[in-house]
Amino acid sequence: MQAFGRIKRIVTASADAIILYFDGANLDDANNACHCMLAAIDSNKKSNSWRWLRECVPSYDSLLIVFDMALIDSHGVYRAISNLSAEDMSLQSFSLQAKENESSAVIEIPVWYGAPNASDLSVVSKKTSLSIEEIIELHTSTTYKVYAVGFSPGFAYMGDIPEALKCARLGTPRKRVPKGAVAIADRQTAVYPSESPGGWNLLGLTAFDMLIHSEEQSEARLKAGDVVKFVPVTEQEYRAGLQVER
Amino acid sequence: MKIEVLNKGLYSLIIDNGRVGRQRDGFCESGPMDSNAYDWANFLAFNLDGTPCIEAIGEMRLKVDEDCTVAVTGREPTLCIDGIPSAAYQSQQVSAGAVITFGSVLLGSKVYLAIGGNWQVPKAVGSACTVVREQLGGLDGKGSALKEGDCIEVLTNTRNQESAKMRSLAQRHIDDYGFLESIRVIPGYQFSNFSTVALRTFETSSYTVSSAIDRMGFRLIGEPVTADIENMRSEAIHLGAIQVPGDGQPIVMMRDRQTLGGYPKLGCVSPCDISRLAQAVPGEKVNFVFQDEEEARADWLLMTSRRRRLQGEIL
Repeated sequence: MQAFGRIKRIVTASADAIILYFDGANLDDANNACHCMLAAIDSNKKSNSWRWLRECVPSYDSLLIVFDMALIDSHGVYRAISNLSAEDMSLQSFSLQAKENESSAVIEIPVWYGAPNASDLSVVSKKTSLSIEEIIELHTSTTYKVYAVGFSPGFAYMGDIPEALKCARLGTPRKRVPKGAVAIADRQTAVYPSESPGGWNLLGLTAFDMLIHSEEQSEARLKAGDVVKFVPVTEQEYRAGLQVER
Repeated sequence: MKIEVLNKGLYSLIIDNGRVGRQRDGFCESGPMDSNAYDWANFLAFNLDGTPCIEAIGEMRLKVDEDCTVAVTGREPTLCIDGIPSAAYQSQQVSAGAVITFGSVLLGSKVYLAIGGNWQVPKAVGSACTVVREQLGGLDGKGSALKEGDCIEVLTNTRNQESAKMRSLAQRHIDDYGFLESIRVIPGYQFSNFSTVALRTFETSSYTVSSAIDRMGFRLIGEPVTADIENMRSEAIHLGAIQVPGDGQPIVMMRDRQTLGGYPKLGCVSPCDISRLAQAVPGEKVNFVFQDEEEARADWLLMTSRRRRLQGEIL
């Protein structure tokens, strides 16, 4: 399938799914292109001719589209996407820009670096040839953008971490990562919202709750586009934070 | 009517069709591991598609306090009503006070119990499906697995029980759950980042189902397969995706998988074979064969039309 517009590549994912990869001057740009496409699809999906759409899952620079095989095949999906008018896309890009300007306050996440049950600091130190102090310094020196929410409810993928801090995922994922673990992988950083398996390198713990709990619905606290900064705290401050969040 | 859990077996959950459209917020798809067996169970118990039912591992025992219709399905399922062995894949009339015992001959396989009627269970994020890790769904809406003493409220549909013809699926039409036939895989995602040698290894070796199998994913053990990319951006993981972490041991992503992930994937298990793989137990050996996307869709359309035809004949 021929790529077009801001789409760099279109790849089969399964018999009932394709994945689009977006291009841009940088990751931020590609991420915006991805969210424009999502918004354009969302504004059309209520119409009868889009009844085949089952799921649309965005990430950094990609968008997975899952369809009902009884109603359409991948070529039909391709046709529907390429028919989204350029006008539609630019309209979405405009409203996305407005939303971004609205929510530019930096959200601070306090981290107890090196918490005993959530620390791969020595592993990261080996992988990056940085000292533990340098790792913390680098991780807290940058403000990050939330590129995507996923993996588990409320899990926000943030980036980019400094090039020097870049390190590969664990060879074998951990079966259990504690709630509130602050982690890095490649050029990304994140907080585990609840206990789960995971393959990222852990730096410490935060008391910052990634989910807003309500009676009927749970909701992610951070949204794609938010700006975040990590701040180092002591064990005592972390424990005090847990009391407040609870 | 109340259904009381006398023995929860090893692990039993209230499930339904799962959560649609919420993966973008990080909520997993959830739903039945073996959707073929789940659909049959509801059909045989006179329920609409998507009605909640119980997915159980191990032998579960329940007591009902009203007359009702039940059906048990799965891989090599067993069913006893008041101690009397009864047929699975068939509507069974059960009297008030009866004790239902069901399970699978194979330890670790899932069995489905559907009970005809309207299930009075809470929905969380659009579904009653239990996801323990996300603390969603189930009886309390907080993701708890079923336990002894739990009571499920179902409003029975008495109209069906008196007049309707009992339904049963002939033995020869029950899905084949063995692994003599290879599991079909659609090349996708980072497929082109795997070397010809790696892909050949994957297709020609047998993989053993490990004991690390759950609703999130099935870890397999065998010849390592690696992609020639080390760092990639996390992206949406579809049902059946075969991801290969650095150690080269494939993990097939199942219903409760995380929505995004950054390990290279060589494609997805065909929607036609995902139920069969989900019923594999530790120690079983599986083989994979690549199948192109168009052929997989054709197979899927055949499979669903066959099921519709069978259901039409049973009605």
